[in-house]
Amino acid sequence: MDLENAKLQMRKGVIEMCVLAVIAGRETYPPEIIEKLEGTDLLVKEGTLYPLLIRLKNDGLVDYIWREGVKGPPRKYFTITEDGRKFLDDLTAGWNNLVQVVNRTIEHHAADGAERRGTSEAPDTPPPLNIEPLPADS
Amino acid sequence: MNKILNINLGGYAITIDDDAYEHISAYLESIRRRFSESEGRDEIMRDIESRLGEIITNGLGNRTIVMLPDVEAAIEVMGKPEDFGGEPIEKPGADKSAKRIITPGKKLYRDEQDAVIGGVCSGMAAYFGFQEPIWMRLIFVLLALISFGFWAPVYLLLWVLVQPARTAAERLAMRGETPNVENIAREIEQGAERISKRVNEFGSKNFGSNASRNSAAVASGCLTVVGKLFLGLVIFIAIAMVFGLGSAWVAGIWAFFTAQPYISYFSPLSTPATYLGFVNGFFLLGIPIVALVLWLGRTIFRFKTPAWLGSGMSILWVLNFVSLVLLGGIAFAGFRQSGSVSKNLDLTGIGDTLNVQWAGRNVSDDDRDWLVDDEDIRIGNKRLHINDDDIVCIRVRHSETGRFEYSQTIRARGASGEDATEHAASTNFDVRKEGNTLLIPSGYFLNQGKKWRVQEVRITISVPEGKFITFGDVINRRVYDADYDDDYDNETSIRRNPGRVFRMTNDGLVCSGCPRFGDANYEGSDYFENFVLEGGFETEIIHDDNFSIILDGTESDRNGIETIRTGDNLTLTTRGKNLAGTVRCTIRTPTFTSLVADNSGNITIRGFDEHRASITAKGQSRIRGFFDCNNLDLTLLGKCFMELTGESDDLSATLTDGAELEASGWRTHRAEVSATDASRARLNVTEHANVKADPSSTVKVAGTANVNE
Repeated sequence: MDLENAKLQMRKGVIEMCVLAVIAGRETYPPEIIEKLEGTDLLVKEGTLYPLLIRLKNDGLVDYIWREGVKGPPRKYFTITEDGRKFLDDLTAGWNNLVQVVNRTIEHHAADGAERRGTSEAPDTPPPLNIEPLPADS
Repeated sequence: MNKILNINLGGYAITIDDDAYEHISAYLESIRRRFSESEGRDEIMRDIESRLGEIITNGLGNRTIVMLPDVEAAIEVMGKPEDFGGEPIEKPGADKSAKRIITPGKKLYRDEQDAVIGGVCSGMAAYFGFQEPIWMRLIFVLLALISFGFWAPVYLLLWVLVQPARTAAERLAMRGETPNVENIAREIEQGAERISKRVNEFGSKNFGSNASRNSAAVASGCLTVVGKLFLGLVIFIAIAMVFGLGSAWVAGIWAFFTAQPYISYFSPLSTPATYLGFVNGFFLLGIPIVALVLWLGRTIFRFKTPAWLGSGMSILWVLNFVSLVLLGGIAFAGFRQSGSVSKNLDLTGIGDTLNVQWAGRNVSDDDRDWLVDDEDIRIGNKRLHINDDDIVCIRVRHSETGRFEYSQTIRARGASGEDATEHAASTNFDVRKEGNTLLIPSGYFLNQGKKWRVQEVRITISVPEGKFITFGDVINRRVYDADYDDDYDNETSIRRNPGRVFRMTNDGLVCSGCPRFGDANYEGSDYFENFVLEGGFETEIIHDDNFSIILDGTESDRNGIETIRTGDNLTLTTRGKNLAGTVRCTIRTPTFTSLVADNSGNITIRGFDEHRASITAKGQSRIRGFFDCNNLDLTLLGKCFMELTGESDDLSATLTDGAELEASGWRTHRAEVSATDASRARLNVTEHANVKADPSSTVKVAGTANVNE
């Protein structure tokens, strides 16, 4: 199995949740989402974001408003809807549950592997996702 | 140097370089293909464009023009189409590992970046998968040579018809490569290299322009020269075509105005339809002229023309063409059926001789000339007169009723039989009778509003046996003898004998006073140099500047001699019959080539100085010759006698069956004689003689020659 592909599949699953989480904090201009997620390897290119946002919007999870930019035409700022907030809560709960189970499972695996190799190296666990919602704009 | 475009990218007004524009268009297009309408494609595209516009604008700083690196940087931020997730909409089952983008069909483009002339060859080379366009060029040059230059217009046509591959995507389609982002980027890069390598010697040398599109670096310098010659030829042909079409165009316009008064009579269509047809013709000729001029301008002076112009003109041309074809069909249909109107004229009261005369031209002084100056077609007095030679035709027949009779039939064409008959009926052709004279007009006229539909007048005059008819001058040339079609143009025909009286006999018309061949007053332009004389009449063949022949003898004896004329051969023969009296035949001719005499009377040949001649004598013929000839061939068969006085270089004689040649008065340098069966010959040879004689024959050679026997 292709490692890159496996990682890609994994990222795809959580990306929506992360984007929703960012938007849930405050109304957001899409490039800001990239900034927020920098270093997570989740969203590298902005291009990926737009289809996703439109999908979320079409599903009624987010909405947008037009705001005048500094220069150029008005920009689209995304906000989360009530449905979106509820969806995000459900998703977050599910995620936390999943992380616990997954972490437990792969710790066993790491221990087994260390036993077999005769080493006691710490397993390669992914950095925990720790996205704090930004304080909402007043 | 590159073009600059102003575009609106997601609400950002951007001034962008051509290459950069191509790149970003291709990029947006390939993203676009990844989403379906239901996925909110348009909205996604708007957002992406808007963001791209923002990134590019922000990255520009103080610069004003967006270049390729700016676009590349923006795409770097935005991500490649492949990063967008999902598969391209088209071709869902396509190979996922490789370049996973649509493969549109190869298209034929002109490759202006690798062009000697117009890039037709390199475009075709790309289309047919040749690695090097030089092979395609060689094929074209070869075809041009084989067809003696007729291939040049084909090239011209391709040049005009085939679009140049301008954008990167088109260039890829030209080669059949898939237009994904990598390929497009590579194409743009290579394009830049190619542009920097361009050699413009042709353009600057020949036209003094920068000619940036022509003459890319070509491997073969020789071929470049051929290509330039070819281009020169193509341009020359185009200019010639402009002039040719242009003159036709001007002539057509001129004809339109000149033809105005004639249109209502001659046009196969209604007048508005005729005008429409002229307008169609105006465009049909005019559009190619304009197109050629524009093309020449584009090629030589690098004009810019709007893109819609070509297709607009093509559509207009096709519309006009279709219209003209339809009008042509209608016009053609107007001539499909034929009809006729017949009429008789009462000829009672005519005596023994019917005199047929021409009524003269039915034309008044204020008549207008047809185009230049044609007597045959005139307009005046609200009438059209037609006086062409072929439209009135007279036939003379043997009368069945014992009376003179006249009938005329006017034929015409029309869309239907009735239409045609109506056209015939509206044709004015009025014959008058004045005493014993019939006055026939030389043509007909049509009143204004009537139509010309190939009207023809056929007249039949019946003459009872034993009665006479005579035709005046001019009108006699319209006469055909109905009973003797083959003979209508011989020396005793009506057509050759205006004013002479003809009698109707059981065998058809007979001319009483017409001069015949052999008469002193006969005037013919005949000319003969080979003669066959059979029978017991006396003949003199005399050198003269003009040909003439006179037969002197009684009428019945003369009638006993038949003359046969074919080419320059003249045969006079009695057909083995004996003549009652003596007939003397005098032939005067500038040249004498051959004579065959068979049982003839005395023949004298006098005064010629020919290069080569031959004389054959058979039977009882007696021939005397007083002339000179470089090469003379004699054949004497039977009891004939020939006496020659004169001289030659070479004489060859064959004598047999008791023939006699007395040529001691004929001085020749060389002679070759064969004599058999009691023949006799006397010769005078100065150089050399070959003699073959059987024991019964004698050949005597006088003179100073060596004789071989």
